Amino acid sequence: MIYKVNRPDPIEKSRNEHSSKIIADARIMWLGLFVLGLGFGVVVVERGLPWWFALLTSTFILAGSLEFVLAGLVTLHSSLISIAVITLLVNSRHIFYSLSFPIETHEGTIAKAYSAFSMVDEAYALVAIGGEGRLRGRQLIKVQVGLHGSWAAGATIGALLGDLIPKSLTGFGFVLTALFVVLSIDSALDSKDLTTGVIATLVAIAAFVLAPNSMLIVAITSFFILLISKEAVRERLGNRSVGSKG
Amino acid sequence: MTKPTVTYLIEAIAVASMVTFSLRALPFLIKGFVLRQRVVLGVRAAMPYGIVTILAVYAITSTKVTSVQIALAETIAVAVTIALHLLRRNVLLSIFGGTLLYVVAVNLPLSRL
Repeated sequence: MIYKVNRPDPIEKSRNEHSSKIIADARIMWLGLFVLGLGFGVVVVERGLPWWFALLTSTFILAGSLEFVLAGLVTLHSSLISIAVITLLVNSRHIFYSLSFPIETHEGTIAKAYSAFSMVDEAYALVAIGGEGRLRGRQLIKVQVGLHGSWAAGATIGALLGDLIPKSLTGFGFVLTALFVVLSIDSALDSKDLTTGVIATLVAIAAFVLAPNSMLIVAITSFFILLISKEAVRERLGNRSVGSKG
Repeated sequence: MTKPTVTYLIEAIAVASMVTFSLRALPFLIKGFVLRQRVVLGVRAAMPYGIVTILAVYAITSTKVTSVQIALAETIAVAVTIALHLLRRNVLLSIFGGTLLYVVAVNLPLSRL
């Protein structure tokens, strides 16, 4: 499917401004992932694993929280089946990301496949926020390469340097927490809809309390089901009042 | 416990890599179909907002709280990030303001806490 429309675009200018703001956010995420990567690399060697384990996981899996889990699983000699099942549980939230990820703006199968491969939470957050100004095409690929490279470089350097990395540095991983907080405030203010944010926050807290080990997938699935139900109810009520709208 | 073998480590990474890639890539094959469902169209716009909010709560709660100091540092730093952002709406200021406060607070030598 091709969505190209060849017409003068009055919103092109504001889109460019918006996407340069997203690029600034992306740089912060690169920094955050690099620092978290350092922390991951240190954990890998602390567990007695070789440094290249950090390089290979960060390059070929590229899923932060899962890689921490995997470093624990392999030191316990977990079976490949259980590694597959745990990966499925930890990463199944990505199923929902495809709905808002503009993979169709890439040209060629390789670009599309790479964009899907490197669709980490941070990349999703950057493109999904911002409507018309969203990041897409080549610019998106660049941002994803940056995220991928930062995480892999951080992990490898962390594993090679090990104890030489000052512990105080890992506190800088807070930039990612702060950025997710800021992006959610921005989406609340931009959409002028506080209810969605409040529901998502409550669902997330409930999932953290009830299922701390699979919090993300529980929270995102519950949120999706809540939204779908709300929409279904609204649609039914809407159909009933169609006549009165004239 | 014996050290895991190189072959086993490579296999483990390959398995996790393939499962993760499938979860990310396969849904795109049915994206067109899913988006044609009316009920999904209605929720599409709200999903990113909700997911980013959930990721924010996740990022906050996933910190390993090994001391009162870390818990306090994080609570204060998150509150300051939110306050700065509501007052100024400057992404860099909010993020680096909150982060610097967090880094300083977790590294203060407060052995009594």
